[in-house]
Amino acid sequence: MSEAPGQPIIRLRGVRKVYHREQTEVPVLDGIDLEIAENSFEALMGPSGSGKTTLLNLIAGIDRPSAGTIEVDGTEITRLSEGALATWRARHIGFIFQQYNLLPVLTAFQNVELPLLLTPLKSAERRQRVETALKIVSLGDRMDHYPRQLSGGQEQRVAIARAIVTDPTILVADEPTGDLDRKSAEEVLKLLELLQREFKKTIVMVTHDPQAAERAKIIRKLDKGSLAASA
Amino acid sequence: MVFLLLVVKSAFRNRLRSLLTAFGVAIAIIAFLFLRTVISAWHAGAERAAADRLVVRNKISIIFPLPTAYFQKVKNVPGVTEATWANWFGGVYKDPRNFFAKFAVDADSYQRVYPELQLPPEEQKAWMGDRTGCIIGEELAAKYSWKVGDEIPLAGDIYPGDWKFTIRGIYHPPQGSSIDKRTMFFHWKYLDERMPEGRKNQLGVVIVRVADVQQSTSVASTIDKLFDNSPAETRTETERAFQMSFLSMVSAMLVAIEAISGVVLAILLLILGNTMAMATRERTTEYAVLRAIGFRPSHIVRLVLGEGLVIAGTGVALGLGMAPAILRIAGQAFQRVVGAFLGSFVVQPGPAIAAVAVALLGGMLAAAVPAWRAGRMRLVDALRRVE
Repeated sequence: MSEAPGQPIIRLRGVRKVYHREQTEVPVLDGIDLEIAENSFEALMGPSGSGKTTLLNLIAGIDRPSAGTIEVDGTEITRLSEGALATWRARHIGFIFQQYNLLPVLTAFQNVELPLLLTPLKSAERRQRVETALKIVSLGDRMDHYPRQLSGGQEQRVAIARAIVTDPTILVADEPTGDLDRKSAEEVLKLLELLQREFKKTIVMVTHDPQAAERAKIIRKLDKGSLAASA
Repeated sequence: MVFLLLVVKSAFRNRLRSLLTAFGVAIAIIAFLFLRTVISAWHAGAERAAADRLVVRNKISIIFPLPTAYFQKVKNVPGVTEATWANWFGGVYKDPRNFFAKFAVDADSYQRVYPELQLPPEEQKAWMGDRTGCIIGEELAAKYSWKVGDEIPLAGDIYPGDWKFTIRGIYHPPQGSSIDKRTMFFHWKYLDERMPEGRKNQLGVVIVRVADVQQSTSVASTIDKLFDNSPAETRTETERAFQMSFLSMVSAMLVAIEAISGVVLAILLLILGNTMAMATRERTTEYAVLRAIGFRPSHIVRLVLGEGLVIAGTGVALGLGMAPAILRIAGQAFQRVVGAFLGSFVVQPGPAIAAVAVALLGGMLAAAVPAWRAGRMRLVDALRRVE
């Protein structure tokens, strides 16, 4: 059963992105207009070099457009300074990377706790939140394990716990199942669905995997820096 | 707490490299402390010199003597309260490497000018009653396991011939005294009587105490004026200046040692800088991820600086922990080569504090450039390395 789309939480207007390689300009995104609704689960697909990761980075506020505006949850993030953007990211964005990117010297608990260090929460409150996040991803019994003691799927679930522990509005996932076997990928995708459905997160996921993309409510396709179609 | 934990754990991510770096820092600290200790040991005598003592010597050079007649004239100068004399004997005990200072002195007046040169009454009496008797410092006695009653045979060089002395006392100068604990004193009369006619009645230096330290310069000037245009003109200077004139003979070496100690610190910085540069480069990914989840560039800078501080701090702890034992061994070896000119070979608080400060500041300084670069990296570029 399809749900009614919410208000747009992400708005891109005329977004261009050009990279400079020595003297050459390499256009990556060309005049993207895009609205992503609140509490939606969208997939960005496209061939390598089509600009999908760049688009994800722009939405997440870790890159700046060459032209155009990006408004996320009422804030035009293109106008924010680096420091303000970092604070904004900490509050609004949860990142899920293809290679999990957990810090190997910290336990699962400590990895998940990292984003909370930027908040004024006390230790007991942080502990409660971390435990909750790890329970959501079904790793309540792996809190003291180091990343090397976990499987790839478990590492990605710890990364998801790290992404949701601050209760961000938006989750951005760059090939979250790219390094996982089918079973683990399935678990991660189920988890993302749960987060969208039960915890009302807006999820934007870049993927090459058609099976993964099918779990999204909307699939947008990028080709040569332009949005081709959505399904 | 987690941030601190992250700093410490990150610092020892590559355990072997970090420990080797910490050992490098420790060795640099020990080398620095050793060199500074050599310098301070060399200056120790001058620093302990009494302000109220003046040394009168031949103006041409210390190796030229003064006539004994000068002694009474010097003693009569207004402002002089006590006077004595001493001759550098030289001499070899079995092997030239067994170096220690030996002075022929007028015991009675010498102990008035150097009241810290005290003996137990029975030893004092024995020394005064034995023409060939000598007294030695406690460290010299310990070094050769000498005790009262032992004989010290010496082969003369400045004063040729075979000499035999009987130890009549072992002195224990108080802490901070200018009296060295590895020196031998014997009666000047014994030396003088064995000299041929042309070398009799010669004094090495005359040492005086003055009533008023403020008048030292004018007293020195008065003494030197007494002997202007005489066959043996004098140069009178404070005991400290006299000691420093010996240091000037090795000043080039001391300057070189100072320079090397600076180079050691520079090497310390390079060791740390190299490690920090490698560590930050390897962890670009992690810094990018931390930045992506909301950490500011200043957090990354603090993280990298903290790592530098932790590694340097570990090196400091290792260095200071090992330094006393290593310096004691190295000092003994060094003194065997250089001789007893050196003062006590112990780690001084000043150089130790300097080494700690330089290492810790150096740790942060060495991490500063990698930290600055890590803080300034473009997030999207750094993340691209991840993929």
